[in-house]
Amino acid sequence: MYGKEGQMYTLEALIAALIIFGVVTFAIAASPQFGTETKEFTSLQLKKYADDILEILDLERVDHKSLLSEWVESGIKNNNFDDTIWDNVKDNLRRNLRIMMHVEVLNPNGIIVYSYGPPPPEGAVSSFRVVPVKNVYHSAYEVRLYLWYV
Amino acid sequence: MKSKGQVSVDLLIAVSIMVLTITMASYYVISAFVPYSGRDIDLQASAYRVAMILSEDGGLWYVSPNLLESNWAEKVKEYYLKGDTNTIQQCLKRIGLANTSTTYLTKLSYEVKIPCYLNGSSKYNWSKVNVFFNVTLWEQIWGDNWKEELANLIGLNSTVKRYRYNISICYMNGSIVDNWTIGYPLYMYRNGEKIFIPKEFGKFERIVVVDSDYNPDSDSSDDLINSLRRLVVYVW
Repeated sequence: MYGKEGQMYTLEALIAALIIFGVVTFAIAASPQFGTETKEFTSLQLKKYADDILEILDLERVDHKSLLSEWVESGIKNNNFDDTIWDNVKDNLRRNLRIMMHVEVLNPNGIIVYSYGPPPPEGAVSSFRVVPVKNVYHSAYEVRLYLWYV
Repeated sequence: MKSKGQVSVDLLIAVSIMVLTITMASYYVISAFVPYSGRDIDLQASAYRVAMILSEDGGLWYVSPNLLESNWAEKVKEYYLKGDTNTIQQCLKRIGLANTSTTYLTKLSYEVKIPCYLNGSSKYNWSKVNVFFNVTLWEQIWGDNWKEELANLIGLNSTVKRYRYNISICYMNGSIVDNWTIGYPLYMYRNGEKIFIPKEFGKFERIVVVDSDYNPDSDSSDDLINSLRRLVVYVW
């Protein structure tokens, strides 16, 4: 195993290892990804939680307003949004479902006029609702809710 | 020594090409069967569909060939009290728990559904939620076969597949509200040990409020947060 012969065996072993490594890497990358859908359903679950929360907050009352529309209207008029609703939602989600949240209100130009909670990480799922409001500068604002698992 | 070494590398390359060929061939063969083998995906999708129907749809009661209404719980009450279970079997086409708007948008349509706002308040407990979770009632209407018939009504079973299911409405902390749970049991007890029955299952949840707990016209945002519930669907 010394001298020229040993050198050749070492070279062969190195090439063999590289080839096998390449083949295994390719095989893993090329194999069908059966787990992807489960991950998608996890995102879908978060998306539906967000949809449902906005839907419930926007339940229409007899006066055609909702908690959400009233909150946006009041926040825009007074230039001061009340955090209480989101404090309660955040505590509820975090304690019971281990979910974190972030809320934004955007005007029709896409400018954020209100932001609540820590910035959403990459992979956070969002849902939005366009809320019509009266007697303020714009006639509708977008409320966007981001959710992610702790 | 040089020529010997070259021969070995050739062999390795040949083996590698063979392994690559087998990998690619198996990839295409397996991919061809993916739509028929993803039972987990199928169960998740089924759970999602049931959760969606129950939380967003008001249900369907056959009135005439051109008319279906969503006030199925009231109709079940009407015909059950008459002792006419045959009509219930024939006319109840789908179960959904969502309220329909009957006051605000009557000029537009009285069949506007309100997603995630479930009908739970009604005189004598004949609301959609109470009727849906009434096992005794379904046993009297359908007999021993009630679980399968109920599965058909919530969009679960088909002519090809039969599923088991468990549906509950829970508080946000996960404990079940009253006796609002129905379907096949999720747990069994063996030697005092609590065992979760489904080995493979799909689970989907929706956040809902029940109108017996929350009235948007009179209750505050604090009441709303305390009224949030989870509709939990297991399918296996």
